[in-house]
Amino acid sequence: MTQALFGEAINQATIEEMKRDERVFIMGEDIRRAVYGSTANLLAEFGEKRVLDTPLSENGFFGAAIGASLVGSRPIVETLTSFMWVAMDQLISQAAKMRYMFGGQATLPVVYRALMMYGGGAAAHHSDRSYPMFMNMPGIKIVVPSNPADMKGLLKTAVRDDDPVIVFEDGTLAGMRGEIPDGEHITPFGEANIIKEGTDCTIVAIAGSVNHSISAAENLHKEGISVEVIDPRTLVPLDKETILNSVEKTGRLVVVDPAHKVCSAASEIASIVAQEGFWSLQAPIQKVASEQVHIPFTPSLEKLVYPDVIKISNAVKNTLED
Amino acid sequence: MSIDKETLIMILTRMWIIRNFELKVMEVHSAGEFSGAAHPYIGEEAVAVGACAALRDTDYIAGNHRSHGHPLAKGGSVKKAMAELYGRVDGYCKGKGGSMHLADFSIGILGESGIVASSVPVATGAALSAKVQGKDFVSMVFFGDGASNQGACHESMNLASVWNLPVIFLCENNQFAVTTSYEETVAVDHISDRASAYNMPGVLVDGQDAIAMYEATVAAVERARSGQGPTLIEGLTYRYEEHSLGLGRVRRGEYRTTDQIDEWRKRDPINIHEEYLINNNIASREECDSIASDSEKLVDEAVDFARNSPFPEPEELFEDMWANPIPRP
Amino acid sequence: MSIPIILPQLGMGMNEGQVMKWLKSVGDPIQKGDKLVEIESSKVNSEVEATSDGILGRIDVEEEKVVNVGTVLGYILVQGETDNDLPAKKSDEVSAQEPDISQSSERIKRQSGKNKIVTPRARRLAKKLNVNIDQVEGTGSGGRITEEDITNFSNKIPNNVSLPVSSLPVTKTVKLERLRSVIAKRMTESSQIPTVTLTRNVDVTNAVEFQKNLISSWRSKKLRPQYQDLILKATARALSEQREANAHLVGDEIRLLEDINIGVAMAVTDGLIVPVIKNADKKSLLEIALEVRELARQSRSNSIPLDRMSGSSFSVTTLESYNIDTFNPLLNPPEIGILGVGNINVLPLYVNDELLPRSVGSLNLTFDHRAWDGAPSANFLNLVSKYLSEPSWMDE
Repeated sequence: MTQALFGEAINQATIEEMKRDERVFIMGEDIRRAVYGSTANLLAEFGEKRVLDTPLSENGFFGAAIGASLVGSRPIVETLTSFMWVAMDQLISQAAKMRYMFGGQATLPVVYRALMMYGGGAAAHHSDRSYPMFMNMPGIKIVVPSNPADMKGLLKTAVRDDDPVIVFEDGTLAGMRGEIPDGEHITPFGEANIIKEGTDCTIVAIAGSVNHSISAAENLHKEGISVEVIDPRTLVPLDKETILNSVEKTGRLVVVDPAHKVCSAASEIASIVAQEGFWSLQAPIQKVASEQVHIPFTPSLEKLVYPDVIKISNAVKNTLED
Repeated sequence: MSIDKETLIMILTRMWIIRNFELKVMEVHSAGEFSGAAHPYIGEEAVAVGACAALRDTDYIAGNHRSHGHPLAKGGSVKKAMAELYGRVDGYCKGKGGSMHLADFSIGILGESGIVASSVPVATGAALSAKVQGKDFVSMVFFGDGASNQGACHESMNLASVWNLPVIFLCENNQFAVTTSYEETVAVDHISDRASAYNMPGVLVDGQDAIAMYEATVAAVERARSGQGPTLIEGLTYRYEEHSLGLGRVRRGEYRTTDQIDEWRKRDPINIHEEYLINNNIASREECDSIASDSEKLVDEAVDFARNSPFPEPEELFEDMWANPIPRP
Repeated sequence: MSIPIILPQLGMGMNEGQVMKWLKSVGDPIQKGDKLVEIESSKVNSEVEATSDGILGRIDVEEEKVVNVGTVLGYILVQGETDNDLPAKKSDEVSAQEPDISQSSERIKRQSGKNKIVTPRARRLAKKLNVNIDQVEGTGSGGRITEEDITNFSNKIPNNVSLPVSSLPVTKTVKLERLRSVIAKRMTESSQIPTVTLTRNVDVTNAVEFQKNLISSWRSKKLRPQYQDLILKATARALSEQREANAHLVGDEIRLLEDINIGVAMAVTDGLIVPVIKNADKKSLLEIALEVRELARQSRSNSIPLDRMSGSSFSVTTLESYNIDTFNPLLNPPEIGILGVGNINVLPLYVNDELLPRSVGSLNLTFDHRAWDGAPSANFLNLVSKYLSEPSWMDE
């Protein structure tokens, strides 16, 4: 086991996978100079051919990654969630739909790593948490790690997976240190992590809100409330078995999601439990997600938007009102 | 350039196949044998056929909604094409793509896109892979005059140029985007003029002349394969039929004159090519007619094949989503 | 083969069309390209053309009908064909069932409890435990019925309620759906027996005093003495001295019973059960008291053993703590007597010409008049009264 920062975990995974498979190459804006840190040393290690700085044309180079993946390459594209909108046509019309509409002929082993900044005054255009929108469109696997070990393990799986994957890298975790197992550390898709066991209420939390939920659970424990915290780790595929089993045990569910609440990942999880876990429930399901407003610049307002420990604790207590 | 007879005959054969295929599609679609959109390639055959004749089987192409010409020009199966239009299990895409999404990855056809210009970055990416892998295949992408205004086109051309990618941008300028004339929407006189903005050669070609298309493409492929980067070729051609089947009934107002259509019909690409062959003693009238009737038979057989192919079963709805399958949500 | 006339997709996005007017009639000669029928749709109005020469053989879709694109509108007979070459007409069937590709979801039948808020989890448990939600009180917020409420309710009903038996010690256990129906049955039975109830208002001041004095000494045994404990002890002694009261009437037989087993009526949520203190005459007051507490505990958690639920020779039923002064208890057949215990009131009484406040409680003896008469039953009642009002003989 070694300690590493979230960004270091990304770097480790990238280097390991590029060493392991020469078909892997990486492209994105300013990655040679590693402006976001996670692509440090790649240029020195792998050279210009496999580490590409792109022009500012997401639609163009996202699509180029798709084309390259069709003919034998395994590209990784680094981007920000905010810059994905201009490339939606390539992501949806091509990446998501190609395999199915061509009757299974196309295999697209492409990975998009999308840095998700929010909470730090990045303002309206640079604070997108867009993974729920991609959940709705069939054809793309979606990864939302909450700690360095999972970040590394899931990114490695993503590169080895033959389908298009978007890995959402929560920017609020940039300073998080965590233990990473030594050796070949792979985290499979579709396996939720029960971070903390409990009996009174289940929290399912996504990405950056996992840590807030753990804090909330620890506080509630002091009040005699036993909370189970689950991190789904991947939204497509979603490990609903683990979630349903947990709600069967506790009878109560709070879903925490930093995305905007309408049609959030929390909405889908709540809906699944409402349908498939209805008879387990003691109390209504609670959703704690970001307010349905654009992200204001000023800190006095921005701090009101996202889920936090207090909102989460209150939601748990609401489920215990009976 | 002297072109061998085999290639010249192949060009004629494939043009006839496309022509008869499209005529038959119009007929059976009107008879209600299958529904959905279809965009006839009639009058533009020389563009795809001439260009694809310059490619190897291991080179890649991608295209757009006016899709039937491209796979057939690259030697794709006529039966599978027709079956795909009929939505049957034996089609290229098991019936899941339809007319606008023909693809045959086994012969390097990376698929036709329903969204115009959407496949331009994809083809550019295939060329990128050639470079990264150090292989010598090239890719070619077909797009229209309308598509040439899309951002994806410009981003791709810029990217291909700065990274020196082996891709040929082949613009099929049939002069109308549905009902809108390119003269009103394209800022430059010729789409091929846009190449200079991306520091690549731009070549304007008579799209009705298959040989001219062939020669221009051969040169572009040469450049690409030898590491000299991308080329933009504009094949100036004309669409005899409506943008899509049935459009004539719904549009309000005319956008072109019958005189114009007649003028261009006089420059039918198949006639031009046949004349060339006959005048240069490469093939006789009878041989040309025989090629025509053979292609008709081929298309008839394809229709029979399609009619007899079954529709996919309900269970197939959920197949072909994933290379590494995950549980159905 | 006749040629079908198919409704084509006349415009992109057209899904259906309405047949407006047939331009040809059945039997009319047709040339390829002739307009056969006018179609109107949301996208376009147009005609369907003949794809072949021939004769219009049959019209399958009448004017004004709306049909999907791809529907066969009729048939063209080609040269040499007759009506026999037309395919059989499809009846107006409902379109074939779309294959069900949805994943099945769990379904649980709805239960009663319409106007109560019941959590899904509670509903599921109620169904499993066969609890009628309508009978459950909700303790959740807003009167919500929770899982715990269901559990608690279910525990109060003993699963086994046995019927009295005519021969001891063999017991017969009959499983019942509900406690209530059993009680109902037995009460009906007993009400058909000719009974008389005798009442004595007994000065139990000394008993009350005696009971009070036991409090401190019983503290170490962790229980408080109850009035009913003294009653039981007194009754046991009276039964041992007047054995004819310790009997069953079965058919035409009065069976004097060897063992003095006193049934002690206890209230549960839904009704009444009567567990038995076996050989009460041989037990000390403390032993009786301990056993009563244990039975009470067991009755609350529905865990009274089978053999303690039957075999009583005489029963005692107390409404003392319910402020009832006197009442007519119903017999517990085939027993021939039952003692009902009433409330203790402090009343002014003359004791040796002195008017004093005295504790007075009623003892009500109902007896089966077929088995014994007023005189012996009165005697028995007096015995009990005596032993109760002067309890110093009761060993601790």
